[in-house]
Parts: sequence; structure tokens; C-alpha cells
Amino acid sequence: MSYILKGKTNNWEIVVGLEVHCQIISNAKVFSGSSAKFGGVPNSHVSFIDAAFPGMLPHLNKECLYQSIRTGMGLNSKINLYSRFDRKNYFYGDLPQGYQITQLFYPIVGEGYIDITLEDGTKKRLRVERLHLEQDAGKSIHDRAPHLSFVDLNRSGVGLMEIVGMPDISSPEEAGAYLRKLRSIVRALGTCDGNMDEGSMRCDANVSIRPVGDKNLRNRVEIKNLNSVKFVMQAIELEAHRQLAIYEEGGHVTQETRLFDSIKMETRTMRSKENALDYRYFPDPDLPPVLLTQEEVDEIRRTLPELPEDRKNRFIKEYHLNEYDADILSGDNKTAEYFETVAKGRDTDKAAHWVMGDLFGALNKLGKSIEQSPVSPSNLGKLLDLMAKDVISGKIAKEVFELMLETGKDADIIVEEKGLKQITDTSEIEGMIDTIIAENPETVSEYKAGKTKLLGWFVGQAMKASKGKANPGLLNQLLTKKLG
Amino acid sequence: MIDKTIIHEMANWVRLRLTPEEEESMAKEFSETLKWINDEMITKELEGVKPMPSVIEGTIPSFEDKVTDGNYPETVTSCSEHTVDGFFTVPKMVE
Amino acid sequence: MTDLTKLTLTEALSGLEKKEFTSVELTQSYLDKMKELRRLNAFITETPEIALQMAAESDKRRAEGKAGKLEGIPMAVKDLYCTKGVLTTGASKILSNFVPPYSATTCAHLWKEGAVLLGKTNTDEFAMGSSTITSYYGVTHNPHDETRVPGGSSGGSAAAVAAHLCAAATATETGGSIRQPAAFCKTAGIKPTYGRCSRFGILAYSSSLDHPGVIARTIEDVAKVLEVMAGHDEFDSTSLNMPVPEFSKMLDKNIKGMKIGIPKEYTEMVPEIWDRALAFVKEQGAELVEISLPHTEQAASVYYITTMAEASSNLARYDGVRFGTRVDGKSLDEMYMETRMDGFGAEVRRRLILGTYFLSAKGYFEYFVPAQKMRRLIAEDFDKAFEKVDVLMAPTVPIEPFTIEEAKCGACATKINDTYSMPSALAGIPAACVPSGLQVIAPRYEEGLALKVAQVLEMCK
Repeated sequence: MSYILKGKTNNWEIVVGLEVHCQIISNAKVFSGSSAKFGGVPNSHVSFIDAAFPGMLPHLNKECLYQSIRTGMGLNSKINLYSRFDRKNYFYGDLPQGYQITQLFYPIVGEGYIDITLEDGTKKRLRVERLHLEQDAGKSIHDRAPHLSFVDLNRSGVGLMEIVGMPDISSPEEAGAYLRKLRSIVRALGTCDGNMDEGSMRCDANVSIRPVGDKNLRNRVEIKNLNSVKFVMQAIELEAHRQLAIYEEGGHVTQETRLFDSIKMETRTMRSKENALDYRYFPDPDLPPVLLTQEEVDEIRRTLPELPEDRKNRFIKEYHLNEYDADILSGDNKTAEYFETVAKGRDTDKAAHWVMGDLFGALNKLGKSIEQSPVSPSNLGKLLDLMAKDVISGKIAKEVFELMLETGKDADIIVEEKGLKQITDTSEIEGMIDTIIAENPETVSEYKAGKTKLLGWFVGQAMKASKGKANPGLLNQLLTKKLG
Repeated sequence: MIDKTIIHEMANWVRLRLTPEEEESMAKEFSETLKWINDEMITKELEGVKPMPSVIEGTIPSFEDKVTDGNYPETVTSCSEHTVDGFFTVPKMVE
Repeated sequence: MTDLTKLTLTEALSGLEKKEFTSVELTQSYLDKMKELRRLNAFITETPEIALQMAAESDKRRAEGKAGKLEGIPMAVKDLYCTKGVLTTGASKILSNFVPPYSATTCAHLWKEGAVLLGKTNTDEFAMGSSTITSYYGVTHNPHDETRVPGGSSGGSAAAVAAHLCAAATATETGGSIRQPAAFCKTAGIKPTYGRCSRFGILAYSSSLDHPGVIARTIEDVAKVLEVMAGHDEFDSTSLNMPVPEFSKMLDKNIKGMKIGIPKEYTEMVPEIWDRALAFVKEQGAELVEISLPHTEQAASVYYITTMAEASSNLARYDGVRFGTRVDGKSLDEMYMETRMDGFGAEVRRRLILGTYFLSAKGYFEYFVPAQKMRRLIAEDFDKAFEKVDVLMAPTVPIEPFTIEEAKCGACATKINDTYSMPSALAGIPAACVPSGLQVIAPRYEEGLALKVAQVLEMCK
């Protein structure tokens, strides 16, 4: 479905490109040996290098480079055998060097793409322009003293990957799908934890609109401070409508940077200083170029963790899932792992059904992630086994599952304790049927007179008498026989 | 030609300030220098030459991903007179 | 006892070895001399207590048979090198309160081999200058004529060596800052291959051109200090990862059959000894070959653009936040501005402002990139020359030391000053110079060769 803004004179389409900053998962910072861990005592994860003391020089953490390459591979991108670091010069309180080390001229990763699937099944390929490796800035706190800002450099120098998307996105929904897909890729690769609320994944959106059919791009607005997928989608929508209103009134959209305010639900212009900066990029003379060999790159590819896309295809092939289910179950590592533990050696259809239905529903209600699930995957597997071996019926299984959620106990223990084992003893079931037939002679004659629909009523009565534990197949078979 | 507006802007970029007279004279001096550079250095000969921003052209050395530094917050803040509770302090940055 | 400060570093080492005197005695002699000649203003900081303590420890080590290669040798360190626990200013007001909690790698190498720290020598502010007159701590006087400058930026080190205020001194060169003051003060020195000595812990001026090196009284002394200072440092990504030869053992005074190139672009102004020196090396069996370094003229432009551009970025870290002086302001930007206006001297401010132009979107493509292209052509001039000859011989500087008055009115442009040193600095190749004002330029990594030929020139009187 294309996303069109209807104006008075024109129909408008939106053009969006996202720039996403992903904090790299590594032990040490990208250009020093201090810890890259989040938080900590102020200025404790800081070396003289991070604090840009006189005479200090950066040195490269190989893992940060490799993490960038892995991510590039996840984005189906070209890995550049020649790349180089540049300095981006500007003054700010949390930027100790007075410049950020980044890669403008020769990034480590070149063009690639992300394939997205929208809710209605539409597929789209969104191109990625580049990924470059750079360092994060420190953090400043503004609310601890009236006239002072407090600077903590713990984050200063943590490795960042900036992923620059092409302006291929044409709806808020596509933007959301792009971000979620990107997040599932970096998480699958273990290169970034993708937590937007903690700021380990941060997004800026470049938004412009143009009349449908127009090929030229109009002035774009960069929106900063978008710390959730929802906010990104909302901000794009708001900004598109703001621009629409301006154009409809014959106005002009200024190319600028705006901030998204999720409380007032508006975008507003940032102080214009930010807009007029010349960052004076030049090659960092402290860092020689990164020269990779094809063998080195191939080796990284060989040891790459499975990507969500590959996993999805494998799920379809190996577990015979439909595309929709496979997409959901393969999206993140933990879910995929959970599902695979449940599905291995079992009815995969049932496994998918239980994970996506009962389990997801319950976790949703409890507000828990799959890692926090009170029911372990092996335990859910045991429950499925009990059903497969006719020890319990599907109906009882739901009851057992509820108890597993509450108690965290094993399925077989619950079945044992609560005496929920299915009755498969023919004589026991026959006894129950006999009693029901004896107590309801009129219904029996109605049935015999041809009202065969009443069989269901008899099944219900017998089930009730067995407290739901009678094996349904056996019960049916015996009832039909007895009722003649 | 470099005028004093450019000089003013350049000074601001590196957080320095000049008097209008200094801007004027620096603009004049710098324009002459650039002319000299243009005459002397910018030649056809440079076409197709690969820039050499450093004589070190081999690959960058790299480190294992191990935490080997940091964890001395008192020392890192010891050279500044402007710290509170382990933070560096600066005049309020307005967002 | 004779005046111990008269001994060269090599002689002092031998005296210490033979137990003719102790390092404490040697150090005390130097401390006395420093006090006596304080008017030269060669030092920003003197460290007598540290010196005597280091000397005492050195004597102890020597007694225990654990002597290092420079055991007990009193040295001065240019104030651009960070020294743990000792004021390190870069001759700038902005660092006038900075006591680094670490030492430069090169200093650590010196202390490990037993050298003793006498103090920190004066320099142009952040090494930006060639007369040592831009120092916040005042001008240094040339010991041979106190009305004249010692050259710069390593003027304090050169003056200290020439006046026998230390056995040797560390120095740095970006375009001529070791060789020019060495020539002005009639001392020996070396600017090694770029990357031979680590830059880690040395205040950066122009990162792609900053070469730590040595000034001492003789080539042999220079070689001994260099082989200790040099060496791979993983904390400097531009550091050479190769073993350091024992330069002092390569000085065999034998240049028979060697081809020595004379760059014709370097002979416009020659020192008085020039003709004798040419005759002398021929007598020693070397062959003289005239060669050309066609891009010599352009080096000044490349140097100007590169150093200012890099400096404007390198000095951004002096912002009053984490170290150094601060002048408060109502806003962050005002604080930066006031701090930097107050902390930097006029010459530094001028270079930082102009340097930003070469990094601006316009200036980068119009000037910075062409300059880096020209830099390659300059480097290739040397490559081509070294296909024909083993080393190059030339005057160190085309001029005589100017007076302090002349320097203050800016009559002496760097442009002329460093004509014979900027090209080899841009090419990152080694050059050794001798007190008579001559230098020997060698191919990359060939410091040993440069020093060997320089030592022969040193013998020519």
C-alpha cells in the first residue's frame, strides 16, 4: 500500500532516509583499552586517551573493526579492502578531542540493502549507502546544578557504527520495518544490542515530501532524538504533515535540523548554530589506513553467525513453516533458539502453534521477554510430548500450561500431582458411558430414532464425568458402539 | 580572495577572536600567502598524483579486544579544578 | 676535579664506568652550571631534586652491576615531552599548570636505560616557531652570542647542549626544529625516520610531521641517545615496527667508495666550511655526485598548509575542561573562547585560525589535498635521488642566527629558514647534522648511514 498525503491541489509522497547509530558490542573502546561497558562510576571507564590528554594517541581495537564488517555483511554490503579514519572537527563539552574520529572519505562498508516485509505481505528492498566506524561522545548532564553541566566521559570513545540508508523509504510503516529488521540483524550478529531506549541504537530521520510523480527531491529536514521505533514513525508522519501544510500555503521548507518532542507531539527547530557547521573533515594523521585482504574478509564471513534472513529460509525448509510464522520465529536469536529447542524432534506445526499462540500470549500478559519466560523451552517440549503420547488431551494441556506458568514446575510433575493423566482404560470409560445411558433413557431413544447429532451431547456428559480426562478418540469410539 | 568575514568565521571555528583591525590585516596577509601558494604549488603536475597525508602507508596496527586501561577516575579528573562528584563541570550547555 | 660538564656524553659514560666519578657528582656539576647560566633561559623547569634522586639510584644500579646504556647520564627534555609528575607546558600559558600523570614513551625508554632528568627545556609555544621567541616563558639566548636566538623550536635543548647544561637533550622537529637550532648553537643532532621514535606522550603540533629526535655535542653522543629513545610503540599507530640498530656501533668512519649526492637546490647559500668539507669527503674516498631535488621550492607551501591544518585540529583539546588553565564564561562557547584567547600566544592563535581554512570544505579540496599530492612528489624526489647516491650532503641552514630583535620583528621568515630541512621532514627521512652547519640526509630507516657520514664530516675542521 502506498502512503499518500492528500493535499488541496496535489497528492504528495514522502521520501525518508534513516541514519542509524549502533553502539558496538565489545569489551574495550574503539581507540583505547578502557571498558566499553554502559554506566559505571563517572569517568571510571576512561583512560587518558579517551579524555584526550596532551600527547595521547588513539589505537584501533580490531574487534570493533570486525563487528563493523560483520554488520556490513548482514546488510549484504560491499566490504571495502581500503578504508581510513578521518577527523570531524567541532567543539562540544562532551567531545574531549575537539574532534570525532569517523570515516567520511573511505568507509569500511559500502553499498548494501535491507529487505523488509510489510504487514500486508508487500516486500521492498531498501538500499543502504554505507556503514562507517566512529567513536561515541561522552554524556553531559544538565539538571544537577543551575549554571553548570556535568560531563561524564564513560561513553566517550565507545565504538559506533553509523548506518546511512538511502532515501528509499516512503511511509512511516516502512521506516518502522527497516529499523526492526536492522535491529534483528545486529542482534543476530551480536554486533549491537539494539536497545533504543538505552541509546545503544539511535536514529536520525531525513524527511522530505514531493508531489506524486515528481522526480526531484525537495529540501529535507533532519529529525534528531528519536529513541524508539514508534517515535521514528510518529515523527516522520508529523514532519510530513508539517511540510505539507507549508507547501500547501505556498511556503518554503528550510533545510534544517529539528528535534522531535514526544510529549508535545511536534518537531521543532534546533538552535541554528548546529545547522551552519563546517566540520572540517580531514584524514586523521594518527591512524594509518585500514588495509584488509580478501582472505581476512572471507574468514570473517565464514564464522559469521546465522542471519535472520537465512534462518527464516531454513525454518521454512526444515520445519515446514509458512513464511509469516517463519518470519516471526526467526526474527531474534532468543525466540529462534526457544522455538528450535521446542521443535527439534517434535511436531513442528504444533511447536510453532504453541510458541506463537499460548506462549507469546502469556508472555505478553505477564510483560515478560522470552528470556524471562517461566516456562523453559525444554519444558514446553515435554508438554508437547505428553500430548503426542496421548497422556493428556489438548484441552488438559492448556490447563497444565497455565499451571506451568504459575509454578514453573515441569509438565509431567503437574500432570502427576494433579492426576490429569488421560483415561485410556476401556472398562473405566465403558462404566461411565453405561451410567449416562442408564440415567438418560429418553435421550437414548431420541438418538436411536435418528437424532444422531445428540452424540455430541453424550460425549460432553462423559467428558464431564471423567473431569475431561477421558481419551476423546476412545470415548467416541465406545459411545458409538454402545449407542448402537 | 580572503575577506575579513572569512577570517572572522575561521577564528570562531577554533574558538578564537580577533579585533576588526586584526581581521583586516590577517585577511590581507593570508590572501597574499594563498596567491603565493597558488603560483608556486598548484600546478598541472599534481594531476593524477595520489595524495600523501602521511608517509606511513602500510596498514594500521590493531589491538585485541581487552580492557587494559581506565579505572582511575580520580587521576583522570586530578588535572582539572572544575570537577564535582567525579564529573567535569562546564558552563551550562543549552539544548 | 676537572669540570665534569666539559665531558661529552661518551666520555662521561666511560668515566662513570671506570668509577672516576659518580652520577651524583656529574649531575651536581650540571645543576651548578644550570644555575650559573640561568640567564640563557634554556630551561622552563629545572628538576634538581628529581635529578639527584635519579642519579643516586643510578649509582646504586651501577654498583650492583645493573647499568643501562645511558646509566647516570644527565639529560634535558624538551618541554613538549610529557614527564610524569613534572610540569609539562609546551611553553604555553594554557598548560602552565599541567603536571602529567604519565611519561612519553621516549622518556620512559631513557629512564629505563638509566638517564637522569635535569629539567625541561624551552621551546617555541607548542613548537610553533624557529627562534624560541614564541614561548610563554620568554626567549632563550644563544650561548655563543647572547644577543642572538638559539633557533627553534628546540632552541632550549640546543642552547642547553651548547652551553654544557646537559650531556644531551631530547628535541622534536616538524620542519627544521632540530637541525636549525643545532646549527645555530653549533651542536650535533638527528631528525630520525618518521615513526622511529614514538610520538606517544609528546604534545602534538603537526602529527604527520612531528619527529622526536636528539640534540647532543657529538654524532657519537647523538647515536647513543637515539638508539635508546627509538623503538616500536604499540600506542603510536604510526610507530615503525622494526628492530632498532645499534647506531653507535655503525660509526666506522669509513666512507670509501660511497656516493654522496649534493642537491644543487641546496647550495645557494653555503657555510664557510663548505668547500673544505667537499674536499675532505673526497679525500676520504667518497664520490660526489650533483643531484637535483626539483620540488624543493614547493616544500614551504606544503609545510605551511599541512602544519597549520593539523595544528588547528590537534590543539582543539586545549579547551579548559579536563586540564590546563581555564577562564570562565557565561556559556560553554564563551568559556572556550576566553580560555583559548588567554592561554594561547599570538603566533599559535594565528596558525590555528589560518589552519582551519585549509580544512574547510573549500580549503580542503583547493589546498590541503593538492598539498598532500605535492608532498608525494617531494618524497619521490628523494627516492629518485637515492637510486643514484647513498646519502645527500648539504648545508643545514641557509642563514646565520639572527638577533633576538630581528626575530621579534618577524624579519626572518620560516620560509627561508627551513628551506634545506622541510623537504626531508615532509618525506619523513632521517637527517643528521653536525656543529659546523652541515647535514647528511639518508634514505628511510638509514639513520645509521646518516650518522656514519655525519661523523666523518664532524672530523673536518
